Amino acid sequence: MYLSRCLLLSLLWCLASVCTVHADAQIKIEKLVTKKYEQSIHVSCEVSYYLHDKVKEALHNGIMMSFITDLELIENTPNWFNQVQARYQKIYSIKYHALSKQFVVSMNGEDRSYPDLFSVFYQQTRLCDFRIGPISATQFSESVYLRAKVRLLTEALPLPLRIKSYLSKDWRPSSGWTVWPM
Amino acid sequence: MANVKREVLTSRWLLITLFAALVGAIFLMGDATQSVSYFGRLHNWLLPINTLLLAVFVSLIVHNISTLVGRLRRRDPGSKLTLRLVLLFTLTASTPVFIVYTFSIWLLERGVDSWFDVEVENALQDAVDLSRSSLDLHIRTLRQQVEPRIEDFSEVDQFNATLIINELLISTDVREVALFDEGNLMMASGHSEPTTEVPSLPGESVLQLVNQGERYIAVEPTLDEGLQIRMVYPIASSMPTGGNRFVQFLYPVSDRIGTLANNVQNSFGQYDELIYLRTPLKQNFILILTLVLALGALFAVFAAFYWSRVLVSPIQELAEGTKAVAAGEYKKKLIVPKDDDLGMLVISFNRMTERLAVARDTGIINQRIIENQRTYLQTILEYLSSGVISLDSSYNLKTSNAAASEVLNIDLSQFENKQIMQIGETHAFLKDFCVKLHNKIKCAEQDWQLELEVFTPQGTKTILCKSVSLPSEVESQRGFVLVIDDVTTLLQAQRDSAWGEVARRLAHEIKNPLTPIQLSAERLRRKILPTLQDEQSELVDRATNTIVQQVESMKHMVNDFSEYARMPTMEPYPLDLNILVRDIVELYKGDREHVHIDLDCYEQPLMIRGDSTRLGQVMHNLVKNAIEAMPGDELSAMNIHTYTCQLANTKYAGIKIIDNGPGIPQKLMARIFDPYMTTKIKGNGLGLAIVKKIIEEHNGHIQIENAEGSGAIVSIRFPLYSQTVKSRDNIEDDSE
Repeated sequence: MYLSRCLLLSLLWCLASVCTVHADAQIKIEKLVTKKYEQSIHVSCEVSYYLHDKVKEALHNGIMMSFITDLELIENTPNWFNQVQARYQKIYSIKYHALSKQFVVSMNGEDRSYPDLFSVFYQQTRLCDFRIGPISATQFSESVYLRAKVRLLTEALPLPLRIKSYLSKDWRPSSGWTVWPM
Repeated sequence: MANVKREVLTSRWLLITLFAALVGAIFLMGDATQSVSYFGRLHNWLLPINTLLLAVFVSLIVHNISTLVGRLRRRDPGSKLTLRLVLLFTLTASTPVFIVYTFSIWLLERGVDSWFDVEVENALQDAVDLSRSSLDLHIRTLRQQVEPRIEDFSEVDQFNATLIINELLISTDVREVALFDEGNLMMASGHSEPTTEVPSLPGESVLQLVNQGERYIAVEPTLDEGLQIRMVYPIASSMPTGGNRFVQFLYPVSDRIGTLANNVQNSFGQYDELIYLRTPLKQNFILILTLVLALGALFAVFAAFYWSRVLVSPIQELAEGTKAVAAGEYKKKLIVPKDDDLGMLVISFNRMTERLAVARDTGIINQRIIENQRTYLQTILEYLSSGVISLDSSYNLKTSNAAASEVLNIDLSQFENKQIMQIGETHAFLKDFCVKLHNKIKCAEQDWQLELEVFTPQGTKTILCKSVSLPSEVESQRGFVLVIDDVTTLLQAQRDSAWGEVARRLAHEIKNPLTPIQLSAERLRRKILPTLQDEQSELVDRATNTIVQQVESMKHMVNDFSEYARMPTMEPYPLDLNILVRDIVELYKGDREHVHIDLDCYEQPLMIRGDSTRLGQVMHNLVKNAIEAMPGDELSAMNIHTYTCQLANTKYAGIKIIDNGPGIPQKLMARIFDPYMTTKIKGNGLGLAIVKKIIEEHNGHIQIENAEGSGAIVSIRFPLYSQTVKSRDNIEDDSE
């Protein structure tokens, strides 16, 4: 019985370690800037991307990748389950155009070309730019806060890479939820 | 056994379920590998299902291994066979699986690699390069058109800029022209299609480049999967504010060139993607193949456990049955599994246990019979008046009954398993007896009989020994049985009877002629004596006197004999023994000055049933004998006391007379009650014989023994009156 217990625990540990999200995130939301208007808020994020070379290599080899930015307006409640008052999402995909040697970023039905990945991730601000509203005055309270998360949409990866993303954290870049006050 | 059955049944269902799941997983795997797109649809399920199955198999196998290890440690029957079968099955199943796996991997590597061709790859790369060259050539042409006009935008105002733009739109193939000031704000713009209002702005990276004084010329893909050429030129400014103006030209790529270039781009892109995905794809195939192999192998191991259990289960049951039989449970019945070899074995086992049970039951019954017989014999032996002793072939005492101990006046139980000679060594008075017995047993081959005299502290005993040998084929069961009887009393009775007969005949034969002899002698004396002279007269006188005296003496003797032989004519009635003794002793007190009689009577009346005259005669005889036995020249003491005792549920009243005379010689002790046995010079030897006879007529008992030091002790006892009444009542009740 002792042997079987040990083996069972080892198996569970292996499964748990595979499923664990590691702390060394490859995407980091550095800053969340909000600008309040009468009935809306403009939110823009400052995101740093530290993608693994494997991911960059895949992009250079024409693999299309999609990133998703989730933004939620959360209200603190006395119970454990905080109330999500509003949820916003922005998806953009990046694909390398070999003929033009440009990275094409597609978002909201609009394409824009960039000569390199640096330009894609650092020299444009559209990737995390939200205007949320309408918001009532009561929502501008201390108990309401924002949280954002940027991650690679692994479900949109080509299948062979999708399995890799299940097994390797390098293929699951994510910022995790970053909380920001209103 | 029920647990094993239940376990096998559970395992069977589990095995079927897992087999179905495994087949399902492999089916999915087979379908998924048919095409990449289909694989994609299914693969989200494949991995978790297979991982779950894997975990289930691993858990089950770990459980089975753990159970098997436990059984091996406990040395359960069939555990080693299970281990061997599991190893055998696993090895047999795993070997081909691993061969197929290795071959599949090799085939997969070759198969996936065969999708790709270096020449195709090179051709596509060349096509891309060709397209780029074509576009570069086109760009060079366009540059020649626009670059001479750049300076025109250097310090023009918005109006003039618009004029220049319109001119360019008309004179060249440019689709859109836009002028931006130093603050990156658009000053003027124009589009070949007037309906388009918002110009396409350059990206941040382009702006940054231009602000650094660099030009930007690039082919860019458009939303409609076409191509456009973006040319952005910085314009040197003389304004003191710093910064550069810049102008952007957007040229469309012709549809023909664009379509061709896009086709090349798409083909190259897809092929490049496939090349990149080749390794992950192979890895995925190998992963899933390994998963299926692992599942198959684990299934084989689990199945090996199951089949081992199924095969070993009847053997295990047989082993348990054998263990039960060894523990004495002969009624153990095994369930016949199937009509196969093991089934026949189980049937034979069941028959064997049945026969063993019958044999065991018969044995128990026989043992009980023997036990009963033994108890019966033991009971008989215990209540037998004859002593029975059994000896083994080495003359060790094996068994003895209570009567044997009583006859020999020792406890024989302490000599069990000891040599018979040790009895003589421990008890000196039995030494001669044991030696004679031992020699007789040793020498005599046939059954024999021997009468031996033993001088016990209580007196001489005549013991009749009979020996029977126990023949047996087994040496340890050979031996002898000795039957010993104390015939002292019997011999005494025989002697008493003989003496009684003698006395009766004497009385009859001698007494009758004595009277005529006496009368004749007296007549002779009376008639002849006066006629004779002095000498003759004296002679006759002396002779007739002698005759008369001797006849008188003989008469007296004959009367004594007659008294001894006379049949009892008792007149019994209840009397107090204390009063009787006191009366008799009173007569002798002061009779002899040197004899002091000490009387100690029991504090309560000792009522017995008897003839006071005859019992008085007994007391007279005993007291007189004691007084006569004591030395006349010194002070002697005699102690008489009465008492009660209980022997074998019967209460007795007793008298004990102790003198300090010389006692009775040991050699006479055995025949002290015989008639004509006396130590006195003038005694006729009938006193004690008559005493004994009277006491026995009163159902009493007399015993004479020598006291320690000197003197004799005479003990007599009679049943108490209450006992005799009770006995009589019982007899009357029985007769009723």
